[in-house]
Amino acid sequence: MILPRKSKYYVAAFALLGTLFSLAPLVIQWANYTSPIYAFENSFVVDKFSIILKGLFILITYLTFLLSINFIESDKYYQGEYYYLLLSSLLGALIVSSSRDLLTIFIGIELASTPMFLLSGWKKGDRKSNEGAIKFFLLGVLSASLILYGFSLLYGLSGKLVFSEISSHLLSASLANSPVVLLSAILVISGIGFKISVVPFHSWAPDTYEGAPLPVTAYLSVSSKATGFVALIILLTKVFAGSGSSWGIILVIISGLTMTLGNLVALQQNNPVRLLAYSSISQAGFILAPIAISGITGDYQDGIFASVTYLIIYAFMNLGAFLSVHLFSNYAGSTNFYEWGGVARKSPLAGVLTTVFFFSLAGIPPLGGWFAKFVVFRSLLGSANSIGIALGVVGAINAVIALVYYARISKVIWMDEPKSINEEKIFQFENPLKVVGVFTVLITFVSGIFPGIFSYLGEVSSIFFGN
Amino acid sequence: MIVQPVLVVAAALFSLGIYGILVRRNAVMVLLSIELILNSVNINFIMFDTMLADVLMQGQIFTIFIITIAAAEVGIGLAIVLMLFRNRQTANINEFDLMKW
Amino acid sequence: MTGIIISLLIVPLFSALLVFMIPNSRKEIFRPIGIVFSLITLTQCFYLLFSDYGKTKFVILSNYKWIQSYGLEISLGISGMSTLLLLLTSLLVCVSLLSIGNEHAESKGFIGSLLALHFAINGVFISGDLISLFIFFEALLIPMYFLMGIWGGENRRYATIKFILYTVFGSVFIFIGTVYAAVISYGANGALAVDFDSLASLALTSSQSKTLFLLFTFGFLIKVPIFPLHTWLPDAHVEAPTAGSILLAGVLLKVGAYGILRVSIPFFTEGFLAYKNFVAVLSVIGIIYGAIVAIAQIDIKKLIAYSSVSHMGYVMLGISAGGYLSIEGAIIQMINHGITAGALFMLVGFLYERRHTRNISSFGGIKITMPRYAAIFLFTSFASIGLPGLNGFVGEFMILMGSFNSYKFLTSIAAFGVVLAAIYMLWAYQRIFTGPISNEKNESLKDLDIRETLSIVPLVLLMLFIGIYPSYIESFVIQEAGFISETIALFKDIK
Repeated sequence: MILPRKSKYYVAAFALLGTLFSLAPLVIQWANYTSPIYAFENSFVVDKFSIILKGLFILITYLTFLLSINFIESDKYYQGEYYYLLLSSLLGALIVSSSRDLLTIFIGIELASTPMFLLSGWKKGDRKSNEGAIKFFLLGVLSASLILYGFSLLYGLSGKLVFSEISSHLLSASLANSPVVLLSAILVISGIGFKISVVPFHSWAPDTYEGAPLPVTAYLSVSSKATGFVALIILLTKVFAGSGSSWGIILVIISGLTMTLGNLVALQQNNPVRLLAYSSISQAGFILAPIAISGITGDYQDGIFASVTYLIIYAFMNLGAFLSVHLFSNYAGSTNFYEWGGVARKSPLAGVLTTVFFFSLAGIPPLGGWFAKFVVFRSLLGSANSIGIALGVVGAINAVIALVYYARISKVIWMDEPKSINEEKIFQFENPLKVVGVFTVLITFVSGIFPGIFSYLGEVSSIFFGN
Repeated sequence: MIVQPVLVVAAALFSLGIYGILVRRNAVMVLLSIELILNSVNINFIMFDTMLADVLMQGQIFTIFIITIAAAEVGIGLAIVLMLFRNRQTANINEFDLMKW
Repeated sequence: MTGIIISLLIVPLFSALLVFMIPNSRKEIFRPIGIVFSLITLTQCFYLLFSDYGKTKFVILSNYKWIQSYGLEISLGISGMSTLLLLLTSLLVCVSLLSIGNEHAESKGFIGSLLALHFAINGVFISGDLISLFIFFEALLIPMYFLMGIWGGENRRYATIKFILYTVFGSVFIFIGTVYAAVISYGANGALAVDFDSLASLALTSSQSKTLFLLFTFGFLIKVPIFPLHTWLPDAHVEAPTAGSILLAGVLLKVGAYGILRVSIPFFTEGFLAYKNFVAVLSVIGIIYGAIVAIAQIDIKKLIAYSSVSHMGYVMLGISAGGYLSIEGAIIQMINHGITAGALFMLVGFLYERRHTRNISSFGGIKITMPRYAAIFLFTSFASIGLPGLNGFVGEFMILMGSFNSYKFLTSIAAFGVVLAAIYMLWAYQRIFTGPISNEKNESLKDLDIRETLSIVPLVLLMLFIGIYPSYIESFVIQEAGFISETIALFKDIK
């Protein structure tokens, strides 16, 4: 922030290097890992689960920076603050993944989302951006206060803030199914529901996504969502583990609604960013499904494994999808993707990347998305529970619907007749963006072809649940 | 100690806040309603802290954190509202309808 | 042997990547590279054919640990039916590469997609477990999507999306079935083992077997395609480029029938017995319906597409009859239809390249200008109709013979399909080739050149060879057909 305008270039480089170097302690922690390490009176933990999630968050932020470099330089935005705010949000996400008490997790959630209110309104002169920011802000603060009210009830019941003490107190006083705990669980779910934009708390997402600068949108739909999911997973399994059968049902309904509504609305979109917004709403339904079922069956380990696997694969393919939208909307200068006819022929590389990401989101093997779907469906059908199977059927129908709009975009960019006005423009595909594209495509392919790497995660989630 | 009336007041504040968010049309008033909810949470925390005679005073500490974060959020919120007002001379959230579906 | 099987995947994949690597300035060598590599695959298939595994039922030859914590393995294997289909695939890829015009042959993406398609199809035929079967089954959509979507005809967008949506709609059911089977297997073995050996040893309850049969068969039947799920086929065939049509008719349709023979029947026999009559009725409707609609077509490609619906109806009738002879006939009919339909589409492609129309009424009398072409077309038509002495007869005759015991009435109706086939093929031949030249544009048509003749002749020879010496091709599928029909018979006895 303090650098003069001319040397703002260093800010980006410094932010990039900083994020990259912050991976180093993670690697060291991973290599020296023996058992979970607790700090600050059991309120902060370093275990393999949190290390993996931190790695994910750092990588996403790194890729977002790469996405941002040209975008931020092209307009007259505040560069220093931009990177500073994104890094603060990253810090929040990192805190959430390690937190084990109410105060820490709350600060983490807030630290992750507050900078995003500002970033989503970064295009100051743009009315859509303003509008998206105010909607995001109001609902975001509302959700924070709902979560807080839920927390205050929990504190009142147990007099503790640390998760392990709360849950053991709830168990020993057999309060796990008392109305107050349920109310608190509902408040927490609806509060975090805003963050992960599930139906009926999703209404801000498309508007904010459309208004925000594209790299910020990508970050919102990937990292913020992931932060919300991590917070939800931690809270539900560490605090509300005893009352799973009650919140399980609620989450099943939310998950089914989210998949369906997100998909149906996405079908009618012509703005690629809104399409991706609704598609990511529907993907959130899929991520939620295994946790929801695990609440009913009590097999949290499997639910966490499936959700987190889906989350990781989703994160990279969705980032890639935003990259393609970014490229093509810059090139065609239009926010209606029906006008992108034939743009892929201008840059086959970008076209192939786009097709890969969208097909992967649709779940077509051998791309990563199929394994994500496989894990989720296995968890649903494997629950041997009629609710789980019903949710699986809903999911299967949605998987088909989703294909329609995913295939539509790649149809337009490959097959439609090129617009004459687009003929003379030069396709810009800057090097940092190429790095993002190649990196995400690699992860998408590797996770589809060698899903064995995720089996590690299964072990990790068992450790997570064991303590 | 009087516990119940205080909790009822907090719950009432919470409900009032929700009502305000749903009904109020001015962005600043909506912000104020959110502040009401946050304050109801604060009252809750302090009440529980006193009720449980928490030696660590965790409830009060939490309250201080909430106040701090709320201040930061209101700062951000007012900035956003100001920006909006500059661009369109109104803070009525019903008129923010550029985007639908 | 394992090496050969894996190289069936690696060689096409490598050649596809190689084509993508070569700069566009050397575009004249794309086609030769493709042909050389598909010839290598063809040789490997011949090697397999004459090895110990060319005549067996399905044998899993190699396993690879894939997802350790799930106990999920990738299994690859081979059988007589697979070998024949692999051989057909390589042959069709090879000749279609040779047959396409220069416009396509000099396009990197076209040749690359074709070779990638070859890779995926090979994968389907050698996969020995449900997961890899599903993955390859889906993976072949991606190159097909590009082939049809970029190099297709006027209405290609609609046709491509329809094709993809129909197929993926079906494969979602296959996917759910796979996961369900995996979950059941997990309950029995403690591992998500879905390779064909563990599936065969799985004791399924009656309702499980029925559910799984329905899930899998529905997905495969869309691909076959069976009436009334066939509507994607005419559109896809008409809009696909010639090479795409050849592979679509020649091999992709067989993937559906292959899946039913490989998965649905042996593992979910109880479900098969419960629903086979339904499938048989649908296939007979398909035979007659496809043939009648084919008569009314004015677009040659559409005519052949509907004839495919009719011919694949025979395959499904033979499969659902479930007898030894009928299943053997169905397998042979799959191969035969691959050869004849492939050849017909190639011939139409030649005509289209010359005149840029496929409308029957814009031709007439071109026997005078293209005598060699007319002769080959007539010969292929005879093979397609099922004239004794040519390949089409062998499969259909065996199917009708084999099914007669189970379905006397249905088989009698199905036999009329042969008569109808004679009507639509010969009538089309008459309108296109005989009489005076009605359109002056047709007066200057060139006959087939050497490249085109070379690409069609292998198929013609095969039609003749199989027609004259059917017991040779039969020898490769005897064991497998016997195995499948015995599984069904055994199950009936237990009941």
